[in-house]
Amino acid sequence: MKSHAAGTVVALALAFALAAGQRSATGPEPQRGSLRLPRSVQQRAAEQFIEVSEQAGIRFVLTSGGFEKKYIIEAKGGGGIAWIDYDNDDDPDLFFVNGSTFEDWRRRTSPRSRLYRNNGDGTFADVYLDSGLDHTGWGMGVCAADFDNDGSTDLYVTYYGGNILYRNMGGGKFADVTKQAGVAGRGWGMGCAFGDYDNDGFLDLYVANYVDVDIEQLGEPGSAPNCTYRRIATFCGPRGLGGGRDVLYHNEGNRRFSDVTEKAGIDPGLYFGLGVVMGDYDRDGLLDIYVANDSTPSALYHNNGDGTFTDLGPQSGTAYSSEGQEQAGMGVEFGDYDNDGWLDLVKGNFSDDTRNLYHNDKDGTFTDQTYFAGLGDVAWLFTTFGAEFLDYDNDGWKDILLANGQTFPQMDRYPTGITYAERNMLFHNLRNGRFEEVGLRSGPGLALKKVSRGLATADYDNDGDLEFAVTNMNAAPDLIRRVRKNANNSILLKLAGTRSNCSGIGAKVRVTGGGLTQFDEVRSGGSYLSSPDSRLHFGLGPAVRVDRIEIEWPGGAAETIRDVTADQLLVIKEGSGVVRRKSFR
Amino acid sequence: MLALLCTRPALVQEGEEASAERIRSAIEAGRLDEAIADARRAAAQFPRSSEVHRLLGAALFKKGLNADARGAFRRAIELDAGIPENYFNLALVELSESRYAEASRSLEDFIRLEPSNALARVLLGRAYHNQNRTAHAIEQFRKALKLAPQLPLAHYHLGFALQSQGNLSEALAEYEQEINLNPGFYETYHHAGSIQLGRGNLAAAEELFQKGIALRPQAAQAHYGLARVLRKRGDLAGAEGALMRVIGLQPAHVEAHYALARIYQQLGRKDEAAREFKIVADLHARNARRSSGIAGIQNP
Repeated sequence: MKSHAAGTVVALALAFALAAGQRSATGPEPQRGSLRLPRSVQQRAAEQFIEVSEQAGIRFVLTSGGFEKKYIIEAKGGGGIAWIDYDNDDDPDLFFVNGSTFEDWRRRTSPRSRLYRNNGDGTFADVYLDSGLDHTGWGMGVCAADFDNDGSTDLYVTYYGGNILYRNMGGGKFADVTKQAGVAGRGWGMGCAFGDYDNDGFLDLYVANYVDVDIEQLGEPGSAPNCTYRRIATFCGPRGLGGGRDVLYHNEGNRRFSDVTEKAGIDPGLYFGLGVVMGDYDRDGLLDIYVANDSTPSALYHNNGDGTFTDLGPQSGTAYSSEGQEQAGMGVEFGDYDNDGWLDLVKGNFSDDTRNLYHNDKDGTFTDQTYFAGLGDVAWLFTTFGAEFLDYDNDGWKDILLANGQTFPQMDRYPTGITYAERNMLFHNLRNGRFEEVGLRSGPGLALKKVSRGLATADYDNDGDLEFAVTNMNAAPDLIRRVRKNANNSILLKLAGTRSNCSGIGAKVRVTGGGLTQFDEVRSGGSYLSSPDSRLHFGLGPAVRVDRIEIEWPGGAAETIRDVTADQLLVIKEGSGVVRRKSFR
Repeated sequence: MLALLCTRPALVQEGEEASAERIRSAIEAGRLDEAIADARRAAAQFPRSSEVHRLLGAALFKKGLNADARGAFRRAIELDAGIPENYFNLALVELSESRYAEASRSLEDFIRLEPSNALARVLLGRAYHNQNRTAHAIEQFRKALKLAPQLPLAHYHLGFALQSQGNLSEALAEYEQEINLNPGFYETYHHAGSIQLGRGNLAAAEELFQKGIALRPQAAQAHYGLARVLRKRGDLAGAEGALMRVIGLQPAHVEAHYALARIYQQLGRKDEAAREFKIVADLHARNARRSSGIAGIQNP
């Protein structure tokens, strides 16, 4: 008798064990250390990345709130990086956006952003003091381009509470022309991108806005259902907060912009905008806009050619995960990873989720190839902010770099496998639609565990391979360069429009060499709140010559340059061909 | 396990024993009100009897009176801290209310007294996992399996914890062991099928989802898994059929509507695709209003 009563309790125990399992929402992911490498990748293991920021003279520290990250602005905000050749010496310079703390922001004593001039010898000099880049606030993102076609690259910097457009006046001086240009924006600016959506020769501007909130009114961690993650008390949002409406500015050509958001049909859903990138995904000659939205569907604004856009995110397959779930989209980049001539997309998301690798199906739709490509399981516990395509080993196939870092320091108190600081990841392109994560075998520069946000690539030393800068929360940035290189060749192309916009943004370039044709577009913005070197980099493998370079300028002109020697920087002017060459160092 | 819970504490008084037997009989027969009334009287009569309070707790718990049951089990522990099952039963009350920290403490106390109890270790592992203590959970599941390699659900829970850490290979191996030991348990097929599908092993995934459907024909997720397999194979008509079954079972299944939209798109059925995309957007908007925190938690 007694045993029966107790036996009922035992049966209940099994039921509870099961119920507990059903409640816990968790999912698959990485098999670290268990990868079997193809021979080609094993051979490449000798290639190493190292971190050189200190020896390069970079002393910047990204301020972004306190270390506890009690409020969303402290965790999500800031970290923008721009590679900008502000002095036109062909050495990409480096701009870091700084954030703030509540105390400094209230006192209007936020730390300054920093501009570092590239000395051309692997070192940088801090030149912000006399630069005129004086605005302070709670800075977020940046995009760089020559908005007024005067031959100098300008900067647009986003902030919580009003953005800033700096016009490059030459001589290392910038002027705040926000008011005159009419691009102060509204609310909480995040990612931005320049692009000439109507091909009138002047660069327009897209600004993603995040949440519409007074940061003095944010709730305390754990104070509401939208202030938890995995039942752990965390900062509140973005869910439960109002979304900020993104803004599209049309460049009127007189150093003034007009806000065409409403007319263009941008962001009526008030999604939580973060990363922005422009590209002509359907090859109709018109720049389209992709916005990585947090916790809401991401948007693919198809350019209708009449000044309006239609969000084809859901129809194109790029709004959600492959299963139709909303994701926490952050950094995003266009790139043709399979060399089929069409732009694909990579996007970073939150932990307990996959990244996205959207393959362009050439019919206006994309297929999420994340799992097939090998990006699905390995990054499951990681939170990815910066995301870029780059051909790090110059083999002619674009690899993928992800800058990772959680938003919740609280995760370190729990042995879940999720940590606040995370290593960044490098996915090597295996040339068959699949990638292999090689970060842990790629040297100390990729073994660092930090809380990364912005990511931007550049060949800052003009030696033919790509370096990258990464910002880290409440810490110094990383400047990562490759050592022990292979013998592959490459070419760098800097485009200057004449009838088209001066930055050449939107120009389509096909490079054929060594039996391979690669495709890319010049762009500004992308990744997470950042702007990479606008020069296009093409790895050539062992090929020592490029058969041809075909350029379609956004203004409609086309030109072809034939039989070019590898391992040099070419400056190509619209209508004039190659106007300057520099061999790699 | 049963023996453990049935162990009679020593030094029970004669009258107390008779009362206890009556209460046990009533619980066994499902006469819970009678058992509770009897147990309350016995508790008043034998206020120092741990056994009577334990039975009172059991009756109350079965009746769903968790707060009172918790009090009874705690009183039983106060009266005799050396009786393991009181900690175990208290843990069950806590687990039933998702009070995982409290359940962990009770189970840890229980295991200190009964370190070789495998089921308690499985329960403790589940409590740990639900507190984001995944590494500790895995340790408990492994210890449980060392003690009782055939214990139902132990491999399943270990697999689930491993899967949440992204260790898919080991998770799949555990699921396979669970299926061998416990072929009638639906959830294992679903999780194993999802892993196989993610790896592109369509035949293996289909077999697992089909077995899941056979075990639980009303499980929308099993039909959805099958639909994913069929879609990946290019069998759009088959996938459409499976998705319609999912939606029949669970009309707000957002993934199914999305998959259906993409299939209609592929088939050139634009109006139907648009309708499904609209449903997806509406469901997301509705869920966003309800949801807590950042998007991202989902099963792949």
